[in-house]
Amino acid sequence: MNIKDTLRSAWLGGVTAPILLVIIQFLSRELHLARFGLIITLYKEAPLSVSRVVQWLLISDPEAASGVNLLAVIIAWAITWAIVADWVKRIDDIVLGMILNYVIYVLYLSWYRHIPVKLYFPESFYPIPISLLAAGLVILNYKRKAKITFFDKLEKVGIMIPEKFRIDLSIPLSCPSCGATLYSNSQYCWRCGADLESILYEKMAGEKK
Amino acid sequence: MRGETVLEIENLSFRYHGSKEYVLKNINLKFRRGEFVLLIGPSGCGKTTLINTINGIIPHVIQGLRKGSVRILGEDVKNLSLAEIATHVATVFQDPETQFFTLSVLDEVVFGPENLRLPREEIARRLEFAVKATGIEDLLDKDLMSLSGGQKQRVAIASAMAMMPDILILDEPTTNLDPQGASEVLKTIAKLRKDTNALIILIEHRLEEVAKYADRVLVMNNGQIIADGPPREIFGNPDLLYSIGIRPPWAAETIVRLQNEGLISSDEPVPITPDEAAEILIKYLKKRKVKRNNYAQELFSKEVEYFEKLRDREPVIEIQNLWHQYPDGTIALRGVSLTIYKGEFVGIIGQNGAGKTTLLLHLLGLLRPSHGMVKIFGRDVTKMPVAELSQRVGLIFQNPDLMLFQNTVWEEIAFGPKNLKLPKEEIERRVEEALEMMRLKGFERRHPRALSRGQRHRVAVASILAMRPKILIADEPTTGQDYGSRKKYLELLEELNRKGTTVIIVSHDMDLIARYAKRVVVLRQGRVLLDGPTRAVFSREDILAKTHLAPPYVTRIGNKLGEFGVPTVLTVEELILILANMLKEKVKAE
Repeated sequence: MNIKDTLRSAWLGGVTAPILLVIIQFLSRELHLARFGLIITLYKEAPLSVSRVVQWLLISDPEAASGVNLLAVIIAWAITWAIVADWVKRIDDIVLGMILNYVIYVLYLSWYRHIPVKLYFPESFYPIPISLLAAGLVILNYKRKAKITFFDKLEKVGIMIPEKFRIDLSIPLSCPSCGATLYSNSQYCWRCGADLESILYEKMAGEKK
Repeated sequence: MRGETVLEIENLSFRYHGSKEYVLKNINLKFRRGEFVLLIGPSGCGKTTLINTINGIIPHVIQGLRKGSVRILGEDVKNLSLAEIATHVATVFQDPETQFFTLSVLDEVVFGPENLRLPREEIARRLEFAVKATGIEDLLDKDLMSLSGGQKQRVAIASAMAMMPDILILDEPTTNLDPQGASEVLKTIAKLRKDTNALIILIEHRLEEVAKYADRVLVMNNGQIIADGPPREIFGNPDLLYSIGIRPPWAAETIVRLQNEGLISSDEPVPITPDEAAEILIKYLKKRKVKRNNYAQELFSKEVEYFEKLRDREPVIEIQNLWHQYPDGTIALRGVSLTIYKGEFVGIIGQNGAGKTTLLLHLLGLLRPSHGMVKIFGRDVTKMPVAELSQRVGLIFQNPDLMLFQNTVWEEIAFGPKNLKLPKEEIERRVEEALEMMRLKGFERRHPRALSRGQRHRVAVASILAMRPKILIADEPTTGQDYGSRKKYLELLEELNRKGTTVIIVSHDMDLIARYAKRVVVLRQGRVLLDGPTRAVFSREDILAKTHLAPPYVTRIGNKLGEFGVPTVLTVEELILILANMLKEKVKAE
């Protein structure tokens, strides 16, 4: 666990989720999704308050706990934590960040805004497993990609790099022919002119194998 | 007709509009058709102004006060239109791309004749002439943008030749090219000299390469022609050239200095090429039966000892199996592993495209490795904040003007420390220190752009020094400067290196690398070809040839005398000292 990353994920999640929920509401209106029965009722012709958005995100408002509204909240959470996962890339930091995020939302409503927080079972808890699933998928994809080395990518496009060029050398080296010190993986020895690629690096690559 | 006077300059003086000082002062010259004239002089001496009076840019484009006359085939350029002058005079500048109008080589070469509204047959004849004269047959069907720097410059010369000019002016045509590109252009120039009847005026700093083609050398200083004569006469007076910041060809200087010491007969002609110098020296070394000696061993052993002991120092740059692939798929670095230690003075050389700039950009954290790692003082560059990295590594650009954007020298130098949010007193202390170090006291309130190029270079270095970097990187620091300015600049870097700064220079200038760098890293196709003490690297002519590089001319002269025990030399002073000692020893013994 990295405390910095935990705080980062809590901060990013806490800010992104409300913004995304408002964007989803906005899009549903602009795209006239009401024609298909997809009506989100977050915004009701009055100034939209932060506390209302947070209430919705916690599904502490009965209006948010059903139908399309619930779906919108779940989507906002899932996208938020997928974004956080792409940034933080560690599941433990994401879980802790999410818990912290919840705590902050609850404190904001109950302690700062004096609005009681009511939870509905099981609706209020739907976003948690779905967000964790989204974050987990992002991390799995990242790990799968990380396993593909630069050389694998080159091979994919038909460029084969010999093993002797892939090895990580520990500098300084010594010329096997004259013993001169080498401060780089030069192709030739500065002192005796030996072809190091065929006598030194080839041998080292063979040993590594 | 070869030999006929094609250009005559009489009592020519010129000053730019708004300036009180004359840039050209009472110049009198006559040029014959078929002559190959080399025009040399320090930066700012008036060479470009002189050629602009010939090609009509002065007075037709650039205004000023012109006295005297410039006559092409008897007609003063003042009375000819630019279009008329263009049929007589063609000019090729440093950067060929600024001269191109079209996208393909063929279109470019015929562009000039087409604009003269010549008949189709005549255009075809001129095309054939220009292509043959410059040897660009293999480039005709190519796109201009796909050509290398050297090829582009050859096309620019071909386009100029297609105008069938009476006068061809080449203004530093190799300045922006790497050694291979420069060599291609110089071969083209040599071919032109042989195959055409035009008067060719060449301005060039690479005297070694072009001196052998010249029929006549003009030396210019402070707006005047101070010497005019055949190359052997002009280069036989190295003191005159040094006095104005021009370096004579090493071959000529070596022999003249030995002649002055009475060790070589003054009847020997002044050589221009390393081969000519080596021929004279071999004759004397053989005649006096000089024995083999161990100068080489003594010179080498100290440098080898220094190099071997580098490992005891703190590594400041560690590059581990660095690969870099650009988004277009080009692999610029192919597994470079390289360690540079504290206080080193390293020269990085290689052809264009060898990966030098890509490597530098990694050191500055401006590119991320595709594979591998770059560590500065033991820390991964990609994880270092920019502010921290800029305090450790400073880059001096090729063009100082890219680094100057403040209104006064003081503000310019204070810019970096201010951005580090340092306290006011610390900023003042650093600026004062940088001003002192770069000898810029008294210039604090001046506008940086109003200074000379050398001074602007010093302001650029001072602005980097105020950041107190531990590593200083200079990318092509001396391009387009005369020998005197280049030497001063490198001496400055040498001084900083003596005070503990690690210095890395990337350059095509082998002379300066040989003189100042203690270690040379040669890059080829994204890999390290050779890396070792400077003398050892330049002694390996065979390996350097694999990447079309060659040691400095003075080194080549020394290498030709290897059988007499002359070691690989790095400077002309070394060569003269060694040869003088060898020849004196024998004189004493006799």
